[in-house]
Amino acid sequence: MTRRGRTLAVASLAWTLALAGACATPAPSGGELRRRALHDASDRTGVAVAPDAIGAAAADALAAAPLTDANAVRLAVLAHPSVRAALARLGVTRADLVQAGLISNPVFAADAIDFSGRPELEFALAQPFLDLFLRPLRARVASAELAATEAAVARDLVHLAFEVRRALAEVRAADRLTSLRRDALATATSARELVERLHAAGSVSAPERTLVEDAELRARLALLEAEAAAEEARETVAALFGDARPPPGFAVPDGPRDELPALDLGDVEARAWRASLDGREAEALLDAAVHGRTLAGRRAGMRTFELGAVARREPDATFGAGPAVALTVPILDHGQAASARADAVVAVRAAERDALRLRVESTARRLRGRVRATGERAALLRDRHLPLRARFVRETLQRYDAMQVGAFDALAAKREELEAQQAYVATLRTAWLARLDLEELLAGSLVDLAHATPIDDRASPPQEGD
Amino acid sequence: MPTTRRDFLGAGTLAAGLLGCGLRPAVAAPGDAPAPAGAAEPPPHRPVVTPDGATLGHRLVDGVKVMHLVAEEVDHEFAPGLVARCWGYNGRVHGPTIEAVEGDRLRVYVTNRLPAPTTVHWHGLHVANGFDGVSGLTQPAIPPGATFLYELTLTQHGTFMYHSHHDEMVQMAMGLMGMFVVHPRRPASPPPDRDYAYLLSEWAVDAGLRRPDPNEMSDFNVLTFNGRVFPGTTPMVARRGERVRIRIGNLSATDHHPIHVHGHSVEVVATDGGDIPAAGRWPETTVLVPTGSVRVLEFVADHPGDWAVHCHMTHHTMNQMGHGLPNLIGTDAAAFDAAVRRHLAPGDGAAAVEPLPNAIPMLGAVGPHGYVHMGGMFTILKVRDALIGDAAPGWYEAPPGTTAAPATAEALARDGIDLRVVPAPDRPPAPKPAPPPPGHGHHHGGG
Repeated sequence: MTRRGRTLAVASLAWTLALAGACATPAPSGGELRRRALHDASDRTGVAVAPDAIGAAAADALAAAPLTDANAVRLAVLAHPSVRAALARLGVTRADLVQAGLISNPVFAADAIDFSGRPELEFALAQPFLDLFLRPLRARVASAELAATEAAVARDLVHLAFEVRRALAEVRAADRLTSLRRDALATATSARELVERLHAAGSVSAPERTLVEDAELRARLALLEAEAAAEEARETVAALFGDARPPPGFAVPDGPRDELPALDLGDVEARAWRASLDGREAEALLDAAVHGRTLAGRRAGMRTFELGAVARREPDATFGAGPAVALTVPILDHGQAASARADAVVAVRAAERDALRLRVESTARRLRGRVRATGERAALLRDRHLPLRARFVRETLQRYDAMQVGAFDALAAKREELEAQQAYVATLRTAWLARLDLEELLAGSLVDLAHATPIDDRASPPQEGD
Repeated sequence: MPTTRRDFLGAGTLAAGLLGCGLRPAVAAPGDAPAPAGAAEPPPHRPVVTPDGATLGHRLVDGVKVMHLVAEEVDHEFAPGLVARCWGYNGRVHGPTIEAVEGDRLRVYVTNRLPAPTTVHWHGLHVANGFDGVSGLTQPAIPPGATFLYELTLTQHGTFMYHSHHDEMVQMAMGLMGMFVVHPRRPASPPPDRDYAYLLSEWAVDAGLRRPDPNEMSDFNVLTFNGRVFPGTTPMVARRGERVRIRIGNLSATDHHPIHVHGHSVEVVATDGGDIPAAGRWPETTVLVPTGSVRVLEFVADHPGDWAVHCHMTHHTMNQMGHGLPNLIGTDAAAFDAAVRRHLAPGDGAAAVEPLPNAIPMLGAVGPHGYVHMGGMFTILKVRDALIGDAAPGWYEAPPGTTAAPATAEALARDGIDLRVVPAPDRPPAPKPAPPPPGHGHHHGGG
């Protein structure tokens, strides 16, 4: 190699390395990304979780403390594996961003061809320059994808928080239902004991006794059903706590659950869309697609563009060196397909974003309606229906004392009151779940109504004739 | 524990009512004016007494007795603690007894202050067809607010009734009825010393309600003597040896009533169809009074005491009886009650519950020897050697040794009563068992 050739090669390599160093894309650290995601979720759920607290020790400490609604959310965030998975996804996307900021390594090539003992040697060093030129666009694509991942991770955290809250509401409802059905069984058992006494005294027929016995059995079945539901509801909560699961039959925090706190139902469609993390993810993905389209346009079918140097020693020992260039000649594939694909991807993501907005707004409207309907029904049941049933029991007792109705009529009045209370608990449960669904939506996480709990007040065991 | 019908503690409050009733004379109601002074003809009869009722007043106008009945809503008390808004005449239920003399001419004005049309039918009286009171058939109904005139010439004597004959089921169930007594102008025999009139009726007033249910067809729960139930009924009184007449009309919706008089034999001397000749009478202790009929009993009150007079249909001497109740005989009723109360009453059964308003015990009140287990169509005939006026005396004080009391050991021993042995009709009450009768132990198949 001539000195001029050597100089050219070294200069090319140095330039390339300098470019690589100068153009390295700054990416947030993994810790910063986790902190941002947790902070965002905390703002939206109202439950702060320190990023550095995530781990088994902190979870164990929290699990040992009295369970509150907020602690339950914290415990799930600290201990549930899905949170670790979500946060790890940030690392994946961050690495993609870093990768997008890097340029390809230079390529060294060497040939040795033997011509009857006289070798011909050739050495080449090439630096791909296409990446260098496209690196800013690639970085924009990767940044947008990282933003999408951040939104998705925050959404998953928000969703987890509301999963915990829903699970607690389910446990509370199941516990109340179990208690009411226990009372109903006690009433049915009393009726069975009374009818047995009457049957023993010869005052009640066998079929009448059989029916009362069967009613007690149905009350027992209903209680078993409620107890199983309560156990399953507890398991749902426990599973959200990961390895920090509480002991079986653990108590859930109690509180004023009958009064539904006020919830601003104004303009929920716009508020839900503004807050939507799903929407933010969709916007970021659309942004990435737009940058991807620009990238495809710039590439314009160009797949290779390398600069370098080559040095050769001929068999006759002559030596030569000089620059080398390799590039795609885009005369057949000038990137039209790639551009079209990129255009299509943009269109797909834009449409997906629009469809998502419609879903978010529609879900907001449906949940608002559900919150109103279940709230009104729960209030009517609580403030009117239950007092009426209680009054009817008192009045029936008066009539029982006045010997206008018998013991079984009186016990039936009590049974009907307990059934009304069960119906109320069922409605209250749906009201709470509807509120939590809407709160989750307004916190940025789109609720899948297809899987949301349907409104169903039928909490009572089936009765005769049903 | 509150006062409830169930434990009959309500008897305490009603005892006063019973005693009060016992002391209350049967008098004409305010507003039912007596015949004006200076009337042309003094009554040739002993006025009839309608216990708990009244007699309709009249005025003489050109020799005609003019009367005025006003049909209207009335808050009527069946007994202390039970009041219902009924329909009656002249502010009372039932309407006042109309009392006149055979041959009288009556002009009876009927004013309708009810919310429905009405008429008056003169049950058993021979009147002109147009005054018979059958709405649509013999006259148009009297619309609300209107006053119709009935002109009656009394060609009979005896005991009759009057009642609405328009929408009878409703209007009679609401109370529109009364007694109508026509004394003979020339009595064949001296008047009785005591002359009482009773109208029997039946109502459906569920405990706690304040309005009779005219739609009830068979399950009547308030059965009344002159619109009252025991312990709200005013007793009859008689001096020993007095001849007593009791005129009993029955305008119940469906039930006949066998009226039983304790301590005396009675004879039915007349119906609303006329007098029964002496040869056609026979002694009775219970007289069935079919619905739509009158039976007039007479007897001599020759046995001092407080004698029950009541319908012998046992359900007719119950007040506001509930139905569909389980039969608790043979069970521990108290434990039964506790189990129910534990589930229904506040505080796991410990807290009190207000008693049902406007309801009375199914059975009577406290008497001189404990609780009187009678209600409904039950009253008392008080026969005494001496009376102060016509006021009902207090409880009868039986002469020593004439009241059922716990058997003494001496008496049991004297009469060979062994309380360990239940005497059977087919063996002597001696403790030694009798030999088995012939054939004992044989079993007759198919028997």
